[in-house]
Amino acid sequence: MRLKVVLLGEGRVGKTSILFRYIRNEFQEKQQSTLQASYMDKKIKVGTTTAQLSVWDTAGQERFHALGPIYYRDADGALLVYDITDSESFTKVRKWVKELRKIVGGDINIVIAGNKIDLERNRQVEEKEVLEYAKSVGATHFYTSAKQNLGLEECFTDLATKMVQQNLTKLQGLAGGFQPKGGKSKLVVVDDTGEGKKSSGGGGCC
Amino acid sequence: MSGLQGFLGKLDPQKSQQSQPSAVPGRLTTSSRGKGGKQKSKAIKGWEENEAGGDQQRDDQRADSNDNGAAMNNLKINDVLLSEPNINLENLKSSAWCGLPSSSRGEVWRLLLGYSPTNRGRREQVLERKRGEYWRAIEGCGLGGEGHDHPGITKTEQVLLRQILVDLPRTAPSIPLFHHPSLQLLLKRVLYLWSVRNPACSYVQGLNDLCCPFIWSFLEEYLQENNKTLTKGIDVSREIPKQILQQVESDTYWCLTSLLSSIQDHYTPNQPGLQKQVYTLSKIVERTDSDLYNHLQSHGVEFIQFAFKWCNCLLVREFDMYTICRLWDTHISEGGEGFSVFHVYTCAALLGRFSETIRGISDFGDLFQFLQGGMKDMTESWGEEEVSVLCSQAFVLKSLFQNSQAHLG
Repeated sequence: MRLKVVLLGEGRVGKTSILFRYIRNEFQEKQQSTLQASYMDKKIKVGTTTAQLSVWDTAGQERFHALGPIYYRDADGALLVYDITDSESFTKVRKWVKELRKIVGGDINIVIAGNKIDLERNRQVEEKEVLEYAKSVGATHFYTSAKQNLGLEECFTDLATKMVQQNLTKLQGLAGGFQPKGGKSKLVVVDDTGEGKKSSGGGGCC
Repeated sequence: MSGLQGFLGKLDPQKSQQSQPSAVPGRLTTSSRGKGGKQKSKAIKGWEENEAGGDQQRDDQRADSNDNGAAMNNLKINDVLLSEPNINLENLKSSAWCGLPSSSRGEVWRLLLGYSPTNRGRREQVLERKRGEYWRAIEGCGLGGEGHDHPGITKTEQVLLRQILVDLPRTAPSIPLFHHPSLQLLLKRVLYLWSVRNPACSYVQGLNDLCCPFIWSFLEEYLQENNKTLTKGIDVSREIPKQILQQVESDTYWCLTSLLSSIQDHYTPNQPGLQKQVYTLSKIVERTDSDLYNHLQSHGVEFIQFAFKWCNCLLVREFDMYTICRLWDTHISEGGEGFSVFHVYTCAALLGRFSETIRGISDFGDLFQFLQGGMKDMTESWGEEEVSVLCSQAFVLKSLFQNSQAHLG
């Protein structure tokens, strides 16, 4: 099963770093800005299903916002990234959610990642606000750190699980227990990777 | 092909002249300007002393081979061209096309980009005026001072400044030189001033990359003048006087402005000029290397996905600093069409150079990786010869297609 994921978020929140860490387990303190978009893929096992994640990493500058639809139009999932030390970057997440729900509706699974959790001491984005917001739009929220490799497996596993379930549901032509429409589907989030080792507040919220 | 013969004629070493270069007005020097001849061997020795780590030997060889390759033009450019009372730009272009020695590069770029006047007598005065003008503009746009806090600027300008500040630390990540606080400040001011003065474009990610070859070349010019040479990890505070940094900054601004004036529509909303260039590239490759074209097509790789960056950053991200400066010698020597026209043929030649490798990759992800960054691993070992071949291939392609647009339809 091939699943398409798009990474969206403001510039320098760590989209590319998340991808490099998750897929290649590499981290560069100074990562060049992404122009247009870049691509990486990885196989992931969800239950008995092996899925090929095709991840598109997009440019963060507002100027390139218009390119978004090219990448999210036929995506199964979106990982919206913000930087916990930068409140404006969270405002941008709200914009993306609005746009995604408006254009592609509930067909796209959304996970929100609060990146740079290793910089907790510089936090600008209130946890309560984020969690409530994520819940209100039917998205899961995770804290991540590409630098310290925190929360990424969980984040992608959660997104992949949702996408696989949605696809299987579609394939079987069942309305079933999963409602891909409406954005507030009651999905069972499988997160068996041991939450205890994670930074504060990680995990699903649906 | 007469054009090609003309090009080959430029390679004639007999034309080189023998004599020591002399001080040239407008050069990046402090008041004790004009120490006379540059000593290549010392310059290269400087590399050995300064560069640390596993890259050292390779970098030594690179600096060596690049300078040797351009050596035949070296004396000619210094004595015959730069010391003339009135520089003949056409002659200078034809010499610079084949590559410049790093000691003259800064000066020749300033001339070819129309920033430095061809009249030797006026040069110092004009550069002084333009440099002063730059610093007054910086004060005028509210960006004076050393910090990053500029209360005097408007809200829109603050958004612009924020984007620039976000990108500064991500400029050429592998070269510590550009992350020195004084160079970060330099980049900030140059990019900000250009963006507020060109509101139709404003700042676009990647413009920061375009400053690097200029900064690199101007710093190298100063260091070679003092029998030293530039290293990626140079201690800027110790090696570069403030006065020189200020000149480097204003010269970078003016040269960047000149370069970008020919490709403004690369950076306006939706980047039409860039889109057109990428389209032309795909058409050239379709005509000249249909196997490669079909391979990319059949694997779902679109030209825009990799060539966007090539055209947005003018290949700065695909080569290391030595090689990109050498490549830009040729592009800048092509005059106003270097980046707006010739560049697309360079991109086509680059694809042709790696055609076999690319056609050997059959996985979409791997193809993407190679085209988006993997190529740089292969160009890292490039020297003068490889760049010369690339440029001559681009020249041939341009001769074939540029005035025969119907062929690209």
